[in-house]
Amino acid sequence: MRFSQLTAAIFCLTLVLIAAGCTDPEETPLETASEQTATSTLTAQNTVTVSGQNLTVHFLDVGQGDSILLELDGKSMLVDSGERDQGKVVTAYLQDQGISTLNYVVATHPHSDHIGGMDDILNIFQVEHFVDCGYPHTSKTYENMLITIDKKNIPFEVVQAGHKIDFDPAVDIEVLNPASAYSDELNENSVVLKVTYGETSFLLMGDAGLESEENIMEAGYDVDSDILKVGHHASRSGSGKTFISAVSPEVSIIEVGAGNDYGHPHAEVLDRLQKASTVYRTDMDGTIVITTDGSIYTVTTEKTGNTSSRNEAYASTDPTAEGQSEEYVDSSSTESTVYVSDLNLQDEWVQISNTGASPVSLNGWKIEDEGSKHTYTFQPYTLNAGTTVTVFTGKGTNSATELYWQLDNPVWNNDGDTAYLYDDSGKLVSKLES
Amino acid sequence: MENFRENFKVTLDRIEEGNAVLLVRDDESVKINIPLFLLPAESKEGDILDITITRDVQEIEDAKERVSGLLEKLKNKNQGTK
Repeated sequence: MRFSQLTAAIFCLTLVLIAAGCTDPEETPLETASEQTATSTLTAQNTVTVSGQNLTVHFLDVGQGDSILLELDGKSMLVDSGERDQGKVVTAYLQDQGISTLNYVVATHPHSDHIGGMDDILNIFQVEHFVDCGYPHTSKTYENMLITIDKKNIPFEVVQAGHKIDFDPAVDIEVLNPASAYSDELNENSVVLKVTYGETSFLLMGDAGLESEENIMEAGYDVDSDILKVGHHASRSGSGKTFISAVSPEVSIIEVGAGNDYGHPHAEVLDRLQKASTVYRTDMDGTIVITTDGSIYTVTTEKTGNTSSRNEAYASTDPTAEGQSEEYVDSSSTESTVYVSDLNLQDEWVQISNTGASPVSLNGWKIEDEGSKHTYTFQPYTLNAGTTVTVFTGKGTNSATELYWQLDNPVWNNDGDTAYLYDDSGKLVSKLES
Repeated sequence: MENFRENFKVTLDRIEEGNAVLLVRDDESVKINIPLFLLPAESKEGDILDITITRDVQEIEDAKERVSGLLEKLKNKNQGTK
């Protein structure tokens, strides 16, 4: 199964991404996630002690603009606040999360699609620390934000590359940009954050573009990250080829407004990101939430309501596999011994085979057609090693080799259809187009 | 912004793909997208621009006259061919 075949299905499917190349070369592959975590604290470069809590990162749908919320162990940090008219949206979202105090608020840079909503935020929430890129802007929006911070005596901090943000001892937040010498362009002075929690890392680019990408790489920062918040709404000003291959994200998040006036995301950049990673967009997926315990992360999207997750414990043991996005899906298909072996559109049946050496319980597994118009859920059933089961659409009596969907109408479209097989955790195991 | 007027100031907040995003300083929730080439040369982000908009009464009258003339001409032409 090639990754590219899957990309179209990703938004509507539940999928587990199994990563290759995200383990440290010296790391011993382990059986379970908890053991993996224990080892990674000893061997990982960014040594942090995972607190046993989940880090949740929310990429809020604020139309054309950015707003990201990080939550860990009752603490919260807001990175950007969307346009002025989105302040209320961000406020309501934070309140829904039960937040009244924000431990940190970061303004990546002073463009209105990033700081417009700050007025609402600063006036409604107790803000303990305010972090800014320190490059002045003439807009009233920026000036008023500074006036409010001053009036409320909110501790104000300007950061630059090399600084750390002391959000929680369990999470490492390193500032990769702005450089010590400011650029003439506000975007290139964006605060860029590398957030590392156990084995899971996020790279939040703000609106940083090619110039910052070059500076960050020249400075020698480890940009390799699992999740990338793509710079500048995936415009062509950033996400250069070299940088994206260095980051080698598994998941890319684009914060972008539907039908925006600026042609974001740019087709070429989008194509590059899609080839490298699974892409989520706030214009299509709504708010995107990623939760991680430091070894496994789960992606949940608002509009599709789907959840996908990836478990480090299943990571490839091959240290030469350097973030080849295609390989992680390949490895999942080779690991899985159960797959859709045949699909007959006319006679209305689908076959599932187990080529492995041991029996597999299919209890709770699902078969779906293209567009998830029909779903068959397996009742307690064990598929023995080396055997095949046929699932018929119509009515009949189940046996060891034949199962019946018990439907009156056909499921499979005779003009062409695809059978998707999901395991009981909702992970896409296999698909077959016919 | 309740009153109509001919003159106001804007902040050039940012430039996106050849478009300047202008924020009306009296109420920066009001945004204007305008192609960069319609702004003074060397305009850049952070600039504060003074915008004056006047109704060109003469130009309106001239255009109305021209278009009415063309309309009449075309109407008469079509009648002639029927």
